[in-house]
Amino acid sequence: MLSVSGLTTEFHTRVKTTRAIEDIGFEVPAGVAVGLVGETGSGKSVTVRSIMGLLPTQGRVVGGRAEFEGADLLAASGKELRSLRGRRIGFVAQNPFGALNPILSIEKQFANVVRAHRKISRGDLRDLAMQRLESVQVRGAERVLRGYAHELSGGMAQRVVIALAMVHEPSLVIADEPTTALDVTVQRQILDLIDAQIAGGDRSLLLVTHDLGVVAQYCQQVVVMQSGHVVESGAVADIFTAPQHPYTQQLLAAIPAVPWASEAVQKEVPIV
Amino acid sequence: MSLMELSGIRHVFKQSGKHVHAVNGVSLSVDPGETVAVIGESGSGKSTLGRVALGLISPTEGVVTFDGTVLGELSKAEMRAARASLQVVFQEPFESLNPRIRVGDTVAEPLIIHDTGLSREERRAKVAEVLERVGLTAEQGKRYPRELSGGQQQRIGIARAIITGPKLIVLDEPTSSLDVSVRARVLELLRDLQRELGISYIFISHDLATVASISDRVAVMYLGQIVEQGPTQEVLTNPKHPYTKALMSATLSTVVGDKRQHVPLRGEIPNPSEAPTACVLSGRCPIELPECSLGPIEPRRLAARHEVACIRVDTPLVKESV
Amino acid sequence: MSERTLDRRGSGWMFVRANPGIVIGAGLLLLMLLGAFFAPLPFDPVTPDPANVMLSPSGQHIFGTDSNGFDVFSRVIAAGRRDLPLALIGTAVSLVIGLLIGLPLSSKSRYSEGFMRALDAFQSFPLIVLSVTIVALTGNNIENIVYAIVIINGPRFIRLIRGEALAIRDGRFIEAAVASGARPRRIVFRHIMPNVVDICLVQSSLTAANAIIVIAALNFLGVGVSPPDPTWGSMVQAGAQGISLGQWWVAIWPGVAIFVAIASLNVLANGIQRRVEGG
Repeated sequence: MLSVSGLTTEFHTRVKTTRAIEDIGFEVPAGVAVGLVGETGSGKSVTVRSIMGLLPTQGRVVGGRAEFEGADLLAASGKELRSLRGRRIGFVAQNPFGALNPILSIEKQFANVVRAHRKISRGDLRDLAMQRLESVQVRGAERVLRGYAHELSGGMAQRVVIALAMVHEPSLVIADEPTTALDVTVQRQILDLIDAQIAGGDRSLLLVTHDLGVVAQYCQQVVVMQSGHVVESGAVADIFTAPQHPYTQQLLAAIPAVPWASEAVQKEVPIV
Repeated sequence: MSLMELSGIRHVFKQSGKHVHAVNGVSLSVDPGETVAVIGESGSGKSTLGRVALGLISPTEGVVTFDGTVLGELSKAEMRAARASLQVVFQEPFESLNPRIRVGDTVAEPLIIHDTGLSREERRAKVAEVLERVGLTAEQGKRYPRELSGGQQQRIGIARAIITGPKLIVLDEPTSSLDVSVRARVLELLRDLQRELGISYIFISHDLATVASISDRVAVMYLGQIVEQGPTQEVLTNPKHPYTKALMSATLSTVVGDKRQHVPLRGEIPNPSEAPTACVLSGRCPIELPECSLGPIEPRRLAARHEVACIRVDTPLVKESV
Repeated sequence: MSERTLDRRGSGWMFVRANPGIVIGAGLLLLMLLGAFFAPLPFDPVTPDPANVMLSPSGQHIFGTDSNGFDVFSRVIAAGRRDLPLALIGTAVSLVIGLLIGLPLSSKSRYSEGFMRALDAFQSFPLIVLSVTIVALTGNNIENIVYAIVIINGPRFIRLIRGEALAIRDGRFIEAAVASGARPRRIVFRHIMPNVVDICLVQSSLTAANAIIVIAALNFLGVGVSPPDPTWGSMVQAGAQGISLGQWWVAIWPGVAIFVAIASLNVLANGIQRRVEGG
């Protein structure tokens, strides 16, 4: 589905040039959730923004390919990228309030996203928006549509963002730290939601996160990044049980074990 | 005799005309050398409680007793002096350091403030000693905050907190802003310091897994109240409150395939200004009964120091036959 | 990114490359100041020479001479002895007032609100008129122009510094200092003041530029001028009529001097701003 190879990105300031990521390569097969994991400075966000064509002005991709549906995203023109973004590639960012326009009603934002890629009547648009909101379990969809982003809680806002990202049924969803800003209990709901969007189909997910627990439970493949390089990648089941690279080993060892595998809790909260 | 005692703490403030009960009836005690973890999500009031414990906020109701003295009865000067024994480490390592001051000078500041009678040379030696204890060099003490990594900045914060030999430190999410690989080492440092210096900690966090290894007791907060508190092992192996169970089930483990069924709470965390007047979890609890909405729930004592504010402590949350 | 971004302070050349604005602005300013005081002048700026009136620029008189036979070039340079230091002193005094009043006002006391309202009232007066009046009343000598500058810019600095200090007070490191037991005075001097330095430097550069305009304008109107001492503003005024007669050199050169002074200060301000943001 998405095949990245040799991706290298630099940042230019008047004083110097930094190579943010170098020779990044990984695959996101159809129907698979891939976790892109790393700490601050690993370059995982830069990687994703390079692929999407969303780098800031000082950033420049200087090498590599990102093949998606037969085209190289890194070589695509602005127009081609805009056509793909939203329609074939859905993007969910970390801060839902940054992704939503504060001065437009939610319904208007749906209109913008839908109408960017196809024609639709007002009535059909409303039905589509209602249906989408319901599919992400937003209660009171009617009122949410008429309202504005600041009236929503973090969890609700992120659901709206997911609904907007999915409205054109993209074949690839990229989520950049989608739950980092949310509470623990909400995080679980949102991740289950994103998981449900992928489940049992050809749609792929590239999930960028620093949280290894998220990767362990929601991804089948993982790509580990450190200081702008890919240090290890493969199946989650393999890497989490037998990490090869010292950095991966260190990362996994550093996470406190969730200490409640006791009988009492297991009975009440069985493993899914 | 406990080192710090928070009794009946209530803190209310006005926000756009509404009354927000940030802390709504909390009682908690901390013994010398003990770590009490305060766990909660947004709106739980945990940070406010931390500031009340530090005397940075004066609670609307309730008494804070530290080392035998009631904080509310101290004059401003006496309170300032008491801070030599009562310190804090904040969540954001960079923001809690003055960007224009060398980190070594920041660490030395409490010594200057509390006029310990040390000469400049003695101060410098003490700073070097403390820096070494937290795993930094005197050379690094000459740097500015922006020249250090997040983990190093937080070590500076810890160094500043321990230099006057405090009896209690309030740590407000000290590792949440740090990289995963750094967290474990900072937690280890905190554990070592406690063992060595006998300091008590009030450790505020949103993550049960983080505090599991460092805390002796844990208090789970929701919408300004403690819904469950007790010895850490006890609470983690035998959680009784539906919210505690929900929190635990939502935490993701790194053991592949260990995804537990999520205990969903209906709806979302309400705005603290709209907190229910009866059980704090009413409106969201999966085992709610009409009785739960009648009035505030008193904490019920179970085994040794394990308290739960729920009238249905022995009711399982999830049917076994699912 | 494996490297930590090093801050732009480096040795010599690195500094120049990274901070061109600061170097050019400060350099020009310094040049003008030093030139005004130490440069050997070809002619005495205050001795009239009736024999050489209104000569256009030549090898001997680079900028020409004016209606009194003064050498324009010497007078333009010499005027820098008055105009520049006055602008800088006026700025410095305004800055000190801003710090002494603005910093304490940033604490949440009953008085601060009241004082700010009083300041609003004060600033609603037409300050240029006020300053002209004051200068005229205290004696029409050039030093009193400093009063004018301070009246106009003092309140601006107070407002700016107070605003910045209020923002800084919300910072976590201030809370940390309070939690360490620091007294309010220590918080102000040790923690808030070093963090307002950046914005003070930028504002000072801009204020000095503004002060040059104010001084020139007042001098142009004849306020604070005591002939034959040269000032840029009065020179422009004296040469203004001549322009229509084709005698451009008397008014233009002092105008250029004013322009260069202001430009260098603006470039300096810009350079400091860039550095502050980038850091």
